[in-house]
Amino acid sequence: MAIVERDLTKNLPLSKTAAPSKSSSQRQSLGGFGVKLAFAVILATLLAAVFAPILAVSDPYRQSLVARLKAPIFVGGSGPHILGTDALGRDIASRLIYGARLSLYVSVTGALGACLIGTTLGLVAGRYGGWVERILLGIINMQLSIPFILLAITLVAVTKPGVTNIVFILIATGWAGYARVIRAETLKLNEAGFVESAEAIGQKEHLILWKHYLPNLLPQIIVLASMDIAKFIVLESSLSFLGLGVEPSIPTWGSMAAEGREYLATHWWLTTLPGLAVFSVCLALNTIGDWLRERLDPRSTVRG
Amino acid sequence: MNKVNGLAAKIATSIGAVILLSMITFIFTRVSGDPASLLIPSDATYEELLEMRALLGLDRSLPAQFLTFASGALKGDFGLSLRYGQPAMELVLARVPATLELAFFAALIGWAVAVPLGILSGCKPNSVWDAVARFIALFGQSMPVYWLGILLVMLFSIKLRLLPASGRGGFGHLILPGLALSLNLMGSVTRVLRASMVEILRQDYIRAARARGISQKALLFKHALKNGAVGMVTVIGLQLGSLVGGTVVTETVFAWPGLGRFIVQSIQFRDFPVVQAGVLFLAVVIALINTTTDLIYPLLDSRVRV
Repeated sequence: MAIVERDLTKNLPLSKTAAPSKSSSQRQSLGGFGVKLAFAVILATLLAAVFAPILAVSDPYRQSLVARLKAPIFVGGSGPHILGTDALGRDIASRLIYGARLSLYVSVTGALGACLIGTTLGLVAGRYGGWVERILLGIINMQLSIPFILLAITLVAVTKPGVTNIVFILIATGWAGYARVIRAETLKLNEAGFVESAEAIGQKEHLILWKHYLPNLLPQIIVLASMDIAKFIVLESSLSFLGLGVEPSIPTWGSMAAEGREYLATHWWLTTLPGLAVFSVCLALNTIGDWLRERLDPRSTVRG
Repeated sequence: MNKVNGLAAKIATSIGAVILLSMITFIFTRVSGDPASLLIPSDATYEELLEMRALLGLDRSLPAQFLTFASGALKGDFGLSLRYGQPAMELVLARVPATLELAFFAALIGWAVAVPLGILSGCKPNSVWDAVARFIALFGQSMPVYWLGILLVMLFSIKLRLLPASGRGGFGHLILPGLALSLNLMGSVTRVLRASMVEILRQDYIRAARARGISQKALLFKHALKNGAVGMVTVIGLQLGSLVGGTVVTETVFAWPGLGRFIVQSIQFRDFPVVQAGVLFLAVVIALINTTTDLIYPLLDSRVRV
């Protein structure tokens, strides 16, 4: 019953503007360590991706028949290959680092593109309505009813594998989600007092959009983007795993996991390490996304 | 009147989605390469190539080709598989039962865990159950299906030797791929159910019912869940779509002889008729599911005008 009472206090209209209620501040302090860890993971991955050429001890492409399938040091391996080598004798640590580069590049560019297109269209539809909105809604609903991976596979099937194509696919499959949320939020803002006041004093349209709409949409955009980057990392690695991702020559986490599958029984780290990389980065991003959602939007505890 | 219009719009959207996807598959397959050159021997002359193009109807304009494709597709005729030489749709349909088996099993596991957990955690935010629910939701979002599949194989097939790692057969074969596929579903269903429960319990009528002294049980089952059912149906509908998408990866990991793996293989062989038939088949199934959930809506919640 105690929980119920807490929920009741949240229900008061006042709590929209009031400080976060007791329960969510408790949760934040509880989740404090997890969130810090998540930021650390993302920061480390970012640094690894940016400074890949410096950090990688050896060339991720260099093959060596002598140094094939060397064990990582934590399973008793020794020598310069901290995380061992793959079936072609390439250094796994270096490939993971370069894999981070590709993963982050593809997912961040994809999320930015999807965000720009989705936000613009959602804002236009929500603010001006009319036939633009109706057409856009139709397209959004259509696209959202096609599963992400099916659309991606269709597009990959008919274009050639490649980094640009993957980014394009991510944008093409991701924009609709933004457009839908941003449109809904824009509809709420249309009714807001400050927007009406700005219109009443004759502020220019682009200033209204820039100064009144965008800052209020920003929390939603940031939350969506952090979740989308995670979603895109999983999607890209899944496509690469299926052999439908970027060019096979580029080291990616997904293709590394796929290559290691043949050696599952004897060299488990070949698939486990790249999978762990995808999982930990996505877990970190989603943790940050959840945390941001609670921080930036005190109205809701969780949203689907 | 309004109701009929709304419903018509939803159905139109579903049909539109299928047409959109069919146009994408059609245009890109035609742009990305000449199917005729795949069918003729490598030492064929240019005249033979032209002959093959004419035979396939590739010498006509794109819109004309699309009309032929579309009218064939409506009858279920997607042409012959470039790899097997059999009708593409027949090959696709032959693999549907395996995929259905896997998807249903995964859905069953997913819902069996997610529905009680989502409701429980929504009713008692910040309890132990809520922590479990949050964990599963986060886990399901972050875990790539293929990796979970591989981990399960390593543990249960290679290490413990309990379950088969690949192929289709008895119930044992179904467990690992089913588990791997269900996790995503489990995460998202838990998440949405939790959110909708929290939302419902905040409503005025729940407060009013509570003020009248209605027992916690009656409150939950008679008032909250009855209304929560609407949210659940939406989620179940939406998730079935991504479940179908998830089979593509899962089937590849576990060498499950279903439609998803078949489509991936066909892409690698550039067997476009099969890819088209398979993708459109899945799209139609998903469109049907979406429309059905839209139809169930008003039955559950009289406030909703479709």
